[in-house]
Amino acid sequence: MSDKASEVYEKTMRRAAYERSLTRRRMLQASAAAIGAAAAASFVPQEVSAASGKVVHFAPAGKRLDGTLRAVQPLFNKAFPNIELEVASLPVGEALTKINTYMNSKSDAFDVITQDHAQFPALDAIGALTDLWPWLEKDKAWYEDYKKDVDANYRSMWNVPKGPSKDEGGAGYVAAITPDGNAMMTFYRKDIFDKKGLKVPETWDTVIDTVKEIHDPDNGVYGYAAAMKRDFWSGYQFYGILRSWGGDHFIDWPNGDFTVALNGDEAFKSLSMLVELAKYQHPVSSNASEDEINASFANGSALYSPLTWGTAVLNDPTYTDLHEAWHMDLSPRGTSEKSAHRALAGGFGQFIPTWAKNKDAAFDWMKFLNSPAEDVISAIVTAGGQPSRSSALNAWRDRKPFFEGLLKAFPVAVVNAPVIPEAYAIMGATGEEVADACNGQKSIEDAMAAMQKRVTRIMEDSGYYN
Amino acid sequence: MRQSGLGRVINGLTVLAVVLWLVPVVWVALTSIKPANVINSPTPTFFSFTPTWAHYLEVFERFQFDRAIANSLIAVGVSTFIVIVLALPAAYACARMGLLSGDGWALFILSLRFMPGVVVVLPYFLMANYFDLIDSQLVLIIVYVAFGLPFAVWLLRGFLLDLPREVEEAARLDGLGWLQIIFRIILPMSRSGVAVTAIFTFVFSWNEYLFALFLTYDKATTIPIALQKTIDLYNVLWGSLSAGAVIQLLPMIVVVFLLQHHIARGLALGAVK
Repeated sequence: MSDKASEVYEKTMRRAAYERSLTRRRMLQASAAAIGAAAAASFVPQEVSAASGKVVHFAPAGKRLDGTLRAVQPLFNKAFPNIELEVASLPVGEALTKINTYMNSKSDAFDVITQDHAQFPALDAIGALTDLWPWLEKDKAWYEDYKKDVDANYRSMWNVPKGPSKDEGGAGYVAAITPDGNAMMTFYRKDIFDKKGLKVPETWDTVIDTVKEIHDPDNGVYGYAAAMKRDFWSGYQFYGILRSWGGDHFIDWPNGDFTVALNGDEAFKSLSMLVELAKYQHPVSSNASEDEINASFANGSALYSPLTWGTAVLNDPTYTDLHEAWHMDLSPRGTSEKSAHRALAGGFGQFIPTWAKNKDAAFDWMKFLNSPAEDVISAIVTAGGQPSRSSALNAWRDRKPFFEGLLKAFPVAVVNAPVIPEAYAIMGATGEEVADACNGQKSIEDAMAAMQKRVTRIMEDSGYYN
Repeated sequence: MRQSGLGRVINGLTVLAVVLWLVPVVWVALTSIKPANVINSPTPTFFSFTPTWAHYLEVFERFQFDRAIANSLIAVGVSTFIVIVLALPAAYACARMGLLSGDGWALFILSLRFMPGVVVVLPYFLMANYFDLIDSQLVLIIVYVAFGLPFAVWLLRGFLLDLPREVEEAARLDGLGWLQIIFRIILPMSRSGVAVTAIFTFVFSWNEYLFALFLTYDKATTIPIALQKTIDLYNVLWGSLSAGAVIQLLPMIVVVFLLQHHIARGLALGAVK
């Protein structure tokens, strides 16, 4: 083993010792991870950058967001002493809209920005995104490695328009790269499922029976929980099921057909499932975003959710004593011919604003942050991040079942909303109708009719049908 | 002296009200020293846990509360001082010099404080961006002065109207000018009113969120913004949030404790009586 590999091995073994129970299996897994990571470390760009000056990276606050940047920052400072890196952040609840405000005012205050995937169409519409090709082209070895390591399905979400980039034969340009991976998945208590001999539901028709088996409200334990807050949260729940049945908001939006398709069989089945599930839901569900659902998972009062963003925090021993019990898997699929596992993918990408002052140095930082180097990945994961690179997910999946879920989800990932600036408005409108149906304020048919009408109106107002 | 039955009931209700008010505050203080897995456990725990300072360390190390506290103290302290220095002569002019002296004018001045901040936050943002003042303490001071001034003028005007005119007339006969009268005669006489006004102004700005959110993003962020950062993506860091809340509350408790006799007197006088 080389010196570098030995060093990486030592570090990994120390980390493994930190784990609560150090089993022989874990030792072997840690060794394998170390060897893999040491091999990956050889891909770190060795070329010394000529870029210098100050780089300001703006990110929403959060362990997974600015937290991971700050964790990698010392490593970057050491590797790139000519570049002064500053990380700025604001509360995540407001940062997403603040970023758009800054970009609308053509602010040159930031050189790199971390933004939610769903906001990229809006950023593109105001010309805020920089085509990263000139920089990717300069370090093709790094780019090829990135392409190989980050699932194409997930990576292409950061191209504008979505799909393969020009260098891969598509029409899009690479607008962002991302060390952050996320997808909607099934979250379940493995200990309970194992005890009751239950399998994770593969299809929606088995979900209710599974929920009934574990539902025990008299003892404060609920078989189902999901973020069903009356806005885009419940919209995501609906959309996740709809996609798994082969449906969508529109007939064929990727090819420009924006005829609203929320009055079909797939929409009916999706909404019916949510209405049925509502009978077993944790009391917090009907007004819950993921914050509350994660809390119900963490305190053991909810046992299962077929569709949840969740994040890797459920595997964090400092967050919950149940960190080893929570496992993740693919969300169920429908049973029709058009059905398939389709995981709504989210995540945050980093882009260089059009008005950035130091783009060369900014890209050096982005490249470093998205490096496969073991110490960078270790810093990101330890800080609470959830990588997009398969090598990183593989290296850590024994300690983070969430990563195992991501590895399954990325190959079947689909965008979490139509890639248009109106996406949030549509999610909000559909979500409100979904919530009304689940709360018994509307029949399924009435809610579907209202969805169809409201989404059509949004699209009309935006001029899609002129 | 023996208490009457009614007195005992009133005292009991008062104690109950205080306890009801204190329970959430105590709960927040306890949460700030509970380990995260105890906070997230299904059974709420009052005292049976091993205290930890980890959340306090985290708010300083990760959420940079040291900088946020300094920013808040500077922005709020300086703006409160400026507001009082400007509001006192303005209020005196309204109360004594016949300038905008009617109650209608007083209400008009106060109405400026009623304006929702969200109405003007974007123009402020654009102006601050134009003058390159985004993320500076100066821009917060300017905004806090602009928003604090109308209320301070209105409040002080009420206090000044209650002061006896004879003292000022005597001072004028002795040759003092307006500014000398204000700062050498009026200010000492209305110390309680000024203290109450300063406290209200300080508290408004100390807790202010919207302008700090729009006009700062890093170096000049204040405590409410740093506190909000403890709400992570998809999970709330209750321990850090509670630790930050305790830290935000402490200066208020200290200020109110030190100035409590002024507050009691001030509230019994002037416009808010």
